[in-house]
Amino acid sequence: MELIKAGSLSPLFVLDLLLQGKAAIPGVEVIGQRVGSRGVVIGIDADTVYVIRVGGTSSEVLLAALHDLAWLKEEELLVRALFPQVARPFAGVILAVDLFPPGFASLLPLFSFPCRFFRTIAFDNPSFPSLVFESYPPLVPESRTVWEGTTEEEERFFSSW
Amino acid sequence: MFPETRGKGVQAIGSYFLSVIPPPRIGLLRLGPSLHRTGMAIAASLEQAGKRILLLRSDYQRDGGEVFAIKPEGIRARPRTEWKTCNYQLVREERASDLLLFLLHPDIPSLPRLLPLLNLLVLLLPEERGDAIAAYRSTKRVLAHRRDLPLGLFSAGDSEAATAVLERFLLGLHAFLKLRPLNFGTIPARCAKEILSLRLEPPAEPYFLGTY
Repeated sequence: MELIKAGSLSPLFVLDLLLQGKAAIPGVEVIGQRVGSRGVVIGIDADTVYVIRVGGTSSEVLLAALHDLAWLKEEELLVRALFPQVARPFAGVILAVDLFPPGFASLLPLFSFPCRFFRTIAFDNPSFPSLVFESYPPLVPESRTVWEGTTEEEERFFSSW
Repeated sequence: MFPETRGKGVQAIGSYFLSVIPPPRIGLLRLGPSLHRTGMAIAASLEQAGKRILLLRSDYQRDGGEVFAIKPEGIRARPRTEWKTCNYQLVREERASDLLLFLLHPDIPSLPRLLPLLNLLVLLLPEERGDAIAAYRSTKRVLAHRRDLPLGLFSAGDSEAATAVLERFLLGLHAFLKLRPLNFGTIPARCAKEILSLRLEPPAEPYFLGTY
């Protein structure tokens, strides 16, 4: 087992791994088949039904995910018929991508629908490539103040003795 | 009567194996060049002390990305059919380990996410005095994310210069940052012994979450 960034795996392959149960998004149950003519993959957590989009960057997949979301709302009856156990609010978006641009997390409150983000890390292995998804954004404490930068006194202390 | 209880028994046994307490997590932060071997030497010393180690390395790339690697010998061989995914494999490996070690670079993007999950951070200090200020800058930047994290200092190389760097950091971190880091010395075996003497509390949840 070695290296890796998830960019080495194609989005379709990642979706296939999810559908085959060979990869998992924490807290999300992936419905085990593509739905409708658009081939949208959907997932469910404790509260919401989502469309799932994977890719290299968030900008690459966000627009497509929003189209999927619109489709999912239109096809709500179809989805409910296919999955009668689904009795949750429709609908949200899950983005699982390799890279999020700086500041992307600040967009979260602007979305008027449920959305969840995950960063994809792939473990490349000759016999079986596989994935780990971690929640985005990462947890970062707020106040840093005096911890940023170094003072002249600190510079002297560690540079010349 | 027997068939009814047998199912519950199997379930109970399964739950027992899946509820193993997750191992403590230790970050080994490389604050200078050529410290990869130092981290590996500490991991080897822990293994020689009888601990089962799962070691992951995370490196910084020029494009700002990050690569993960897992020490090959850190993964114990199992029949391929037992593994549904790498995720599942790592879940199993974590549960079969006594310590989860992260060999880290100070510039990796995932460091702010990892730090809150660690039980102990060991700063691997450079051997050369000339590298000390850069190491301190990195230390200050990293610790801004987790000032309450138990901290140990280890200086690579059993030399006079390494000892001097170590003492400088013990004093400097106390004077400027009001921290009281532990002295893990300059020899990997001593560092391993100091780590084991801490009896770290296991985390509430495992690091790798899998599907069953």
